[in-house]
Amino acid sequence: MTGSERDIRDRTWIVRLQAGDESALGELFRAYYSELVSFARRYVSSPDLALDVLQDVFTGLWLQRQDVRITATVASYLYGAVRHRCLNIRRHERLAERWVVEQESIMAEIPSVVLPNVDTLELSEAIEYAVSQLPPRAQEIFRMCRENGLSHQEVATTLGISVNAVAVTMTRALRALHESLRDWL
Amino acid sequence: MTPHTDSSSDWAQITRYVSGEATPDERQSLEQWVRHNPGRQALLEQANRLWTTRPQPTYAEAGDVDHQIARLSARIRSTRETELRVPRTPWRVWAPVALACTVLLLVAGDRLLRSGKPYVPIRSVATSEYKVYTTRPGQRATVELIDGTRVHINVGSTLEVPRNFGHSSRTVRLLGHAAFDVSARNNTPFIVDAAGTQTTVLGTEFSVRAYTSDVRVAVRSGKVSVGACGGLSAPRQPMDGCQSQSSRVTVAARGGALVTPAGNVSHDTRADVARDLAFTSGRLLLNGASLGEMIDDLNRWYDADIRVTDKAVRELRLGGWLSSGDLEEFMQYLTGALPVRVQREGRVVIVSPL
Repeated sequence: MTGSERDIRDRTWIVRLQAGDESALGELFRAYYSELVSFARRYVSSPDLALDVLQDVFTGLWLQRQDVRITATVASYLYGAVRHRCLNIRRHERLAERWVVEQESIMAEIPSVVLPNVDTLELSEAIEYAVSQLPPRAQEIFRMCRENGLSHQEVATTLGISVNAVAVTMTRALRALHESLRDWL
Repeated sequence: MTPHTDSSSDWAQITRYVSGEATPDERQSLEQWVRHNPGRQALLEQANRLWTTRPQPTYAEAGDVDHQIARLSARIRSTRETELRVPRTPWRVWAPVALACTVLLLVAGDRLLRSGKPYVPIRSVATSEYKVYTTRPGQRATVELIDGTRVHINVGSTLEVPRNFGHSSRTVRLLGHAAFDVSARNNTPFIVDAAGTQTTVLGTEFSVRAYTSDVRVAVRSGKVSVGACGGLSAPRQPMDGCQSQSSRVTVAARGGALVTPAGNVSHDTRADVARDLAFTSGRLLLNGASLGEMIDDLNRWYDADIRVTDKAVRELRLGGWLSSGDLEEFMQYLTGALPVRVQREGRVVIVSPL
């Protein structure tokens, strides 16, 4: 389903849950469960903690259902809420802060990566390695687009940056990956 | 011969096309651009392959969504009943007190909503020197230490944390299996004492498995140093560090180490980080191990007493994974996967050929 079809479906659930229909909350949860868990796990490593974050986000959504204002898509609202809580947890835990670049700057040119010389590396593994070597901000944006299937606009809204910043970062990241992985493609 | 383009506007278009952002007009114009040059066609195909090639999902995905929904329901119902708004105290202020409570709460939540077994808190004993956390077979727990390190304790294991942990030293003792998500503290290495070995880290994620005196370490991220203290016959040595370490091995991410009862440390060429950390997501990975090899692990996982007398049945291979569930689920799994008959009497499970 396309982004806009998905949002239409999501909004029907939002309307129902605002009217007090708890099953709509369950359906929304079920639809987003695995992608939000894997998204949260990129920020907080413990799987139990990632599940707790989801519990908090959806409980919060239910308790504030009358007051919540979803201006962009429901997906970007959910991703934004999950990310926000995860970053709070990271700050709380005082782990290495890799995601704090909150300003609107456009990423500088991204250098290509030298892959370990392992002959048996499959393309998917090589891609995963190269993506993991992207600078943190670019990696965050790239994964949200490619792995979570969010549109540029949704990523922009979730992160609070411009669509242009997302587009430029995506172009630079894809190009850097292509450069690094030419031998595999 | 790989095609090359230096134009960043070409790449911008390619990226939009491949990621599904391009409008129908943009798609048409790119397709036209590509048609005029076969090199560009190859480039677009490569970009597309980059975009669409995904790895196999790791064990950490999926999971029990129904259980999580039930949990959500319960939370909503309970918050409806307590209309009080309690101001949230930052947990760090209450850390020494909250630690014990947190452990019990975590386990309580886990047990209440999972299998129908009666709730049994994990044993948490405080002496003047240590705080000791013990899980029973079938029971897991997560403990957060005062420095922010998280320890996932697997089934049938014991973790000892000295009273002075976090001040000038960070050493814990383990009997059994645990995964560590260590807070980085450059001046104070984090050390795990287990069955006469010492694993030393600065800040990383790894697992130590020491149910017996065969110790297995697997590293997810960062680096650890694994050493054996000479003489493994005295498991209750004081926790002030191994003075004589016969051999040390440094293990990096995705690697592992093995220590034999004799104290020989080596790299584990068959290290499987996913297998050793799977319990933190409530899973036991089987990965082609034989039933005979897995019996001890299965007994701990299910709090059961599994008996397999037939040699051929012991050598049958198991695949996939199991989640924390009850013995009935496991029995169904067995009869579905292998040509066996399974009988149960309480904790005892007898597996025989069909």
